[in-house]
Amino acid sequence: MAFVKKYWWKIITAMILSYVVVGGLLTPVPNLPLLNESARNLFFHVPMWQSMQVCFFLSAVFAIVYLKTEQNKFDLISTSFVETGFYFGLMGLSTGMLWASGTWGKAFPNDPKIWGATLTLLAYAAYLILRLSITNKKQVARISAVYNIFALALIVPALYIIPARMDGLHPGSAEDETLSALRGQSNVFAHIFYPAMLGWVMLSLWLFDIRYRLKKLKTHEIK
Amino acid sequence: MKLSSSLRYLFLLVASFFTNSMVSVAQDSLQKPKQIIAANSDFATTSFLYENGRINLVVYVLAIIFVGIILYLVRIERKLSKLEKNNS
Repeated sequence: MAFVKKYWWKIITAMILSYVVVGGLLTPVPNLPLLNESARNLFFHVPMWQSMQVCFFLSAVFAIVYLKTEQNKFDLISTSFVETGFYFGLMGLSTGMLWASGTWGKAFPNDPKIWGATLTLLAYAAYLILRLSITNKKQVARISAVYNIFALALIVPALYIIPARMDGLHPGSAEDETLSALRGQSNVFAHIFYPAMLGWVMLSLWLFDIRYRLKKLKTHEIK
Repeated sequence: MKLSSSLRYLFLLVASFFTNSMVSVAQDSLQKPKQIIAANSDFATTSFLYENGRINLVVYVLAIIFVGIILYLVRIERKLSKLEKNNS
């Protein structure tokens, strides 16, 4: 029982995601123009970005906690979250490039959401480089925590406010009916998409957990 | 030890998919020994793997890859817990 007690949410993650992988491929999707069967990518490409956002949000929360408490533990948590989130962002970007070249004809078309996502990733790449460029341990933790909070402030306008008010290719842009069509013509949102979001976010938390524990072990060795 | 028994269940589940499809292949090739199985449209309607333009094949492949990744994560998890136990 100790095993189940310790790993229950990881077991649930594996179960939800196996349902999503099989169900996402087998469920019928409405035949929308341009998308056709590729609408199924909704269950795999979009949750990558949501996982990234959850990771970045939590990393900013722990950056604030670090600035308040100055405990090294919270700095480790914060960076582990950024690293995991960055990984998921790269996955989202590469799957997005593949999907875009299949539907919009270009791997990197001109679209506000794509630019916003790229800016976000660049901002967090700067975070990772910033951490490498300072050698003083205490300084790294404090400066990167402050930078982290500013980087999170970029996400909201770059991924939500600006793309929702401009014309663009992504569903959810100012004049776009793809999402409402998907919602209206089928129940894939309730049956697959929301579980997919939950499952992939939980997988990102799992990966974070492994990263953080590895980091903790490493700092333990150094001491 | 509970983990290993659950792994065995998972393995049996995956293996049962394969044996099912292999049994149906064997039966069909017994009935029509000299025909090429893949090109035979009669056969295509009999096996689950050949339905819907063979999307089920892709589903199995992805499911196996996914199960592999999860098992890999589980293994890392166990190694980490062992290390943590030794370190504390």
